[in-house]
Amino acid sequence: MRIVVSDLRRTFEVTDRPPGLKAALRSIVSRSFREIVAVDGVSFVVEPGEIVGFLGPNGAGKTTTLKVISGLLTPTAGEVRVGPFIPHERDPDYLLRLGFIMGQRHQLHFDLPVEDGLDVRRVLYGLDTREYRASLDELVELLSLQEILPQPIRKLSLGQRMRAELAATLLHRPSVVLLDEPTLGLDFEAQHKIRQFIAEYVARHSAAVILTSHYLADVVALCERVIAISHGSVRYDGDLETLTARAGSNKRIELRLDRSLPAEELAGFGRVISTRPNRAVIEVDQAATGATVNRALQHPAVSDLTLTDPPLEDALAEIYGAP
Amino acid sequence: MTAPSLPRIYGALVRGELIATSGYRANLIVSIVGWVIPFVMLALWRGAAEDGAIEGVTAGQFTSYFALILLTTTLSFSAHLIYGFTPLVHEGRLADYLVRPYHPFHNLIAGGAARVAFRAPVAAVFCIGVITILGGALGGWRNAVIAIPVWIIGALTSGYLGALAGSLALWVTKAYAVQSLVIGTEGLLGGLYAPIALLPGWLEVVARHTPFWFQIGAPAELMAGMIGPGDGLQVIAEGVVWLVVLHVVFRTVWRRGVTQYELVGG
Repeated sequence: MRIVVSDLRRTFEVTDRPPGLKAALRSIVSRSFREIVAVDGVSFVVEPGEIVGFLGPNGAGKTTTLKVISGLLTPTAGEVRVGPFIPHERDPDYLLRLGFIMGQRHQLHFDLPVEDGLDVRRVLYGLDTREYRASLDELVELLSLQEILPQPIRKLSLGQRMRAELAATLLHRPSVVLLDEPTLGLDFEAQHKIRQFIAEYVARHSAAVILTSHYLADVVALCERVIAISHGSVRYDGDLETLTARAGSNKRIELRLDRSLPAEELAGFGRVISTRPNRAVIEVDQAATGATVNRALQHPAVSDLTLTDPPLEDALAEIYGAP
Repeated sequence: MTAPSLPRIYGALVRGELIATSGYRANLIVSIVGWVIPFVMLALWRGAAEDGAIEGVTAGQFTSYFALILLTTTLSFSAHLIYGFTPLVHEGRLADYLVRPYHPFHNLIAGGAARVAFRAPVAAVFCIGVITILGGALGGWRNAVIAIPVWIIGALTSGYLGALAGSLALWVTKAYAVQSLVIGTEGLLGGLYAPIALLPGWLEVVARHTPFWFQIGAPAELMAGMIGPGDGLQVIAEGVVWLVVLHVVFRTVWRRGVTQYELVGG
């Protein structure tokens, strides 16, 4: 299903109270509130089969936007449509087509073995036995679940639990998948498995996926398109390559050195980003890259070098900071 | 893909809860046989009635009444709903339930039903045992037949009241103080501590028309022969009216409560 977000605005009311006991006691009698704007005029479209990285610093409005798309929140203004549905109406037919992973929250019963928990969801999502078996077999294979199927959720490690939660969220093969920090707190191997799984799931079922993650490796591995949001507004909506290029027309050269070089000498190559014993990272203008590389290779202390683009974080920091 | 029917939803949820509950044997055993109040009250009131009936209630009727209370309170869902729902709001877990294609309270009711499934058979055996051994008095078979729908309607109405009290958390996040008041009132007006005939006159009149009594005291009084079949039929009629009113009120409160919950961020 196609996700269409048009000029979405969402505000919240929060208690406005100074710190301290006196203010706390006073607030029992008299309380003041203020409005905060979490999302302000956000618009975008996500097509079926697309995985969009939804990025932003803490408090930027990412989770609020996902909650509106899931139907957990009603827009203050603007409109969200997912296929024929208006999410905040919470039509059960929409919820049957939705999969929403929210960090380390649970969809499976904490005290049930994974397989029993999935079987409960089979009924709740109206899957017949054949559909369930096909979906379960696929998930067990993609997420390597076989070993943990008989174990209660409460006894699983964080990584195992997250894999089980992914299976629960996708068991009914939702056509809209919202992933809010799906790899939070997981080790590298578990992160890698989950990324592979999401890519494979979308390839097989053409779901529209929105992914938020503070691990940019998730985004780089899965998303061709990125939406960056800051202070409740969209600051960038486009492909990942263009975003990386926006970091500037610079290149980074990582030098491997036989011996340490003084800072002044390194500065002769370009802007010094970082130094470690026998290593230094220099940033140079793209036009000057060739000449700098030649010079560096001729330097007796340089044994090798690697040329890279500036990291995505730099591009994002620039976008987030833009007025 | 279509949404399953309510019986199928309950079938799956209760089955899951039965499996989950079975995982904690010690807790299960204590919850099955951990009745304190009805036994204390039984000893107290039976002893007090040794020398003669109190407000027309004989020692034999007190025996049956409190033995039956063991059974009727097994269907009491209100505390389960209140104390199950409030932490969902307070700890921010309600969102997990709101994205599912059925009402969040179904999960809690299913949890309560699983508890009933374990507890009711044991309570029934204890109830029959106490009445038999201590010589409790019973009403006729008509009373027994009418007591069953009274009990079910009472459980549904007090369940709605519990859901309403639980929904307070959508406004105030922590509503335990108000909710404790509801649970205390349930015990008093329901007849958990004494048959309502022993309450002060005006309080007895109020209690006689509340869902709490329909669920706890009324079926016990019917079975013990303290009230007649005609009273039971009146409770059924009143209970149905209560059910319709509470259903409408709950739907409205829920809709507004969720909107309020959203207002502060969900």
